[in-house]
Amino acid sequence: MENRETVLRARKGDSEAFGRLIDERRESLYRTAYSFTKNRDDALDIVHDTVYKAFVSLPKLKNPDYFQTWLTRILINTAIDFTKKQKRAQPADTADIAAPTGSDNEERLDLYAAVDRLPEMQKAVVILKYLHDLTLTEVADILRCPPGTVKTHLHKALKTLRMELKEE
Amino acid sequence: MDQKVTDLKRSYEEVALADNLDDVIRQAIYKGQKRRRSAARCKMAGIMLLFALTAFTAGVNTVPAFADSLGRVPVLSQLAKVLQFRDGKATGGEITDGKTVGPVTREPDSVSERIVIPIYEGENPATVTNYFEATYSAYPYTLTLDLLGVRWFFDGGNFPSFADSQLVEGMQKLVVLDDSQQRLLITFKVPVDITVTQTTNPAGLTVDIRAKEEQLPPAYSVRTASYPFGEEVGSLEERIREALGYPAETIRMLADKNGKLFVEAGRFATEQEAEDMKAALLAKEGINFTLTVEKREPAQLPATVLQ
Repeated sequence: MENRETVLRARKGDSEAFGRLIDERRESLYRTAYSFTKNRDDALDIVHDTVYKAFVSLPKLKNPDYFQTWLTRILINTAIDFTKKQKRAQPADTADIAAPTGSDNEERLDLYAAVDRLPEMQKAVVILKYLHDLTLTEVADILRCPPGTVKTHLHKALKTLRMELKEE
Repeated sequence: MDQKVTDLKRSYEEVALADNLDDVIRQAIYKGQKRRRSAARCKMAGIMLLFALTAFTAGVNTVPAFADSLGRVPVLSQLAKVLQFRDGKATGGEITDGKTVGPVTREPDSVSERIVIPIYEGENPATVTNYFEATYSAYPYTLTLDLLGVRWFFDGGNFPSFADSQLVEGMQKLVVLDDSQQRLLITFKVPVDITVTQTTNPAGLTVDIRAKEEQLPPAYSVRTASYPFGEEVGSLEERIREALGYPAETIRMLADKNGKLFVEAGRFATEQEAEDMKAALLAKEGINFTLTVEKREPAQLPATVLQ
């Protein structure tokens, strides 16, 4: 539950209050950024830019109850912009990926890599829906597109993933 | 597919956090803090105001570095820089932190005053002056110094007495709700010409003051009641800034004739304009305190208004 008072103080420039808001979300911010890049340094760059942009533009946030959605939007947009600029010629460095545990390591890596190969918007929808457990409406709110468009992206993403993972 | 989604989620949750994640976050917040201060300063310089008063800009100096038109020996230092004011504002110094206002001194003579404000680092003079903004205005005639990166006063903020001064009414600290900066207010008794010189090695500001002739009409000020130095008046300033959308040019913190502080939201050529602004402000969220319209001559010290 959002601490409205903390958001209001952060909006006025209280960096300590803003720090507390970010601290509560640091793991989610980093892991989401990492989901896009599969690279520790790149994920840190995305987190840095997200936190910076959020603090600078926080005075424009009209409804403090909307803070989480607003912050996630900044994160996703920053991650998408970052990965577009990267223009990677080679696949993600699999040595850098936190090794999944259990006997199905290879399958998980395949899945991770398959998600990584999705176009940015489809990847964003998959990450927000499945890793953040958001509804399609909430995802649409963050990505600022109609729920129908989110459904289309999700449908295409799942179709691609099934084909790549050869699921019957 | 459901199993794979579960696997995906488990992989996500198992991602190890980078060791320096907290450092990166702290750096980003610090950078954002500096950027927000910088953005507020740009707004001060360029924002279009509904209630702007172009007629009330008090005269300020554009004296070249070594001209002696104020009858004072210029600050002798190869590293002295005379500030150029535009529309009553000037900036200087470098972005730093952890500085202290050193012991302030005054050097009056028969026709002018000099106030020396050294900047210290610890107990010794600093080399470089912190970033600062100087704002000069009338109603009454004041010089406000925003000292960013200055956190303390060497001797607790005691300033010299100006009881015998023909030009200066007084000098005092203003409230600022940010522990990484300080603000100083110098109030003048009469219209004055000023020169502000920034020095390096040792760091500091020198304010040279001389009387001048100036005739301006009275103005009508929309202001709060008077408060002792403390968080309350600082909070009022923030609430007014938020209600007006941070147009810092119209908002000032001033001292009244008894040394108490108040916030002025704006000042106008006519009483009606002031009353309109007062009404508009009282209708804003968060403005539930007393506001008054006060008529003031350009050099008149503000009255003490009870809460």
